Amino acid sequence: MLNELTDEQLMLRYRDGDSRAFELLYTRYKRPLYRYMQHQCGNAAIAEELFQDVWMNLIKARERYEVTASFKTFIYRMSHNRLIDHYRRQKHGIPTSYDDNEELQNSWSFADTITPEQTLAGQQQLARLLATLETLPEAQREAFLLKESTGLSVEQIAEITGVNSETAKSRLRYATYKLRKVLEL
Amino acid sequence: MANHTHDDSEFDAYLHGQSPLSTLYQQTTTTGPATAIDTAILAAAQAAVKKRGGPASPFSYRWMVPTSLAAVIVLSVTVVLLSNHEQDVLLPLPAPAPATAKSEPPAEIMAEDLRAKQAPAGQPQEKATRKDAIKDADKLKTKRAEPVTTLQQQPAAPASALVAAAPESPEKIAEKPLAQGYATTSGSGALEKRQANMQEESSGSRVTESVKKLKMESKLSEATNLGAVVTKSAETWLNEITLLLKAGKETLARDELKAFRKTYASFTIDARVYPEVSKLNTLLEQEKHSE
Repeated sequence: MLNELTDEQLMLRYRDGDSRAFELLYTRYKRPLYRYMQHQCGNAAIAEELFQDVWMNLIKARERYEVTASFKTFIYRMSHNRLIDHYRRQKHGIPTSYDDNEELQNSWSFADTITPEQTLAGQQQLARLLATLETLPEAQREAFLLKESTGLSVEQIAEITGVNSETAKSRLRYATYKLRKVLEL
Repeated sequence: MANHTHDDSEFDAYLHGQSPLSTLYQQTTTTGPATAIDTAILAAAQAAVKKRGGPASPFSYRWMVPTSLAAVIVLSVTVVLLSNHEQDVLLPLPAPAPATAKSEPPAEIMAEDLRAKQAPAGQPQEKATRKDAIKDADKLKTKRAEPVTTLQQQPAAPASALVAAAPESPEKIAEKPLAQGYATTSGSGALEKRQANMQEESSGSRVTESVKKLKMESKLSEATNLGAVVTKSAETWLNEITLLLKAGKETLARDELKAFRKTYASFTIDARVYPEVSKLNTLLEQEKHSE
């Protein structure tokens, strides 16, 4: 019965006091959301902390929930905000890649960031992919992860990250270009 | 240029999910969050629901404020309407009683009727305004509520004529005969005697006006629940004695006058207003002196 409900319907049911609806919603989203956090942070401990915070924030905000957008966009928007908040508290602040500077986006160089040892160690394509992913600028990496982890469209990525569609598309383009170049795809 | 075009086509293919890059990424395996995190999140979600007091319909949240406002408005209107209706019920315009009505009229109407009869000439009942009716009703209510001692302050009756009796319980009052409501300094026996005499004299003949009035007042006394001792005004009493004398019931008139004298010892009977009673009073005084 509950399985047939959409994410939005489940969230509304949870808002109205049905905790089973939340359990199902959590089951649907925990893996992709956790993967997004983990690959974006590159640190399992921080990823777990941020992941937990996102769900706790969702629980707190449940009474104000109204269906204004898809639930997917809603929860990934919360995740993005939590990430930015995390970056802001870091020593270097919010990464420059979020500034949408074309030169900054192009300045990435695989040779500069990946050491030969890492390349040699990661012979397998998957390992190389993950290793390269970590070297991408945060904004580009996030765009790629949002696309791959959740299947979101460019417009939805733009909405979540608070930029226009062109910027989101540009970030995604650079990310895929660099990855393909390193992985020789 | 050709390279750039090639990149564009590859990117379009990627956007449509037809890219080896996507396929490769989907092969990456990541473990989910730790079980402890799962447990903590689910427990927090359940606790939040329980804290609020179980499932509630979305109606209760969405319509909480409008419903409260509507309830307040409906209640206010109801209270206002009810209070208006109550005023109308408490202060009815005096309606003419049907001639064949067997049931006794309510105390308010009886009191009004009595007052209208006692009112000076030139103030007919028809002219009594709604205001007067309100005042009369209020007075009557006050009389019911006030203890006997407050009656001593009334100017119509001398203070010495009234009994400062403590208020009695409703049960005791209910057991009393009707005429006891006219308690005077001589006790209630005098009134009973008077009523008995009057009934004796009028037996077999038509009921006199004074008896009718007495009965009316008895009813009034009953209707007022006998919460306080009511004393007949001197003028009413003298009018009754005059009527008795005119009807030729001298013995009864004498008894009445004696009782009147005991009650209103210091009252001076004006010979111009009550000539018959004044004569009888002089006669009684002479008899008293001769004794």
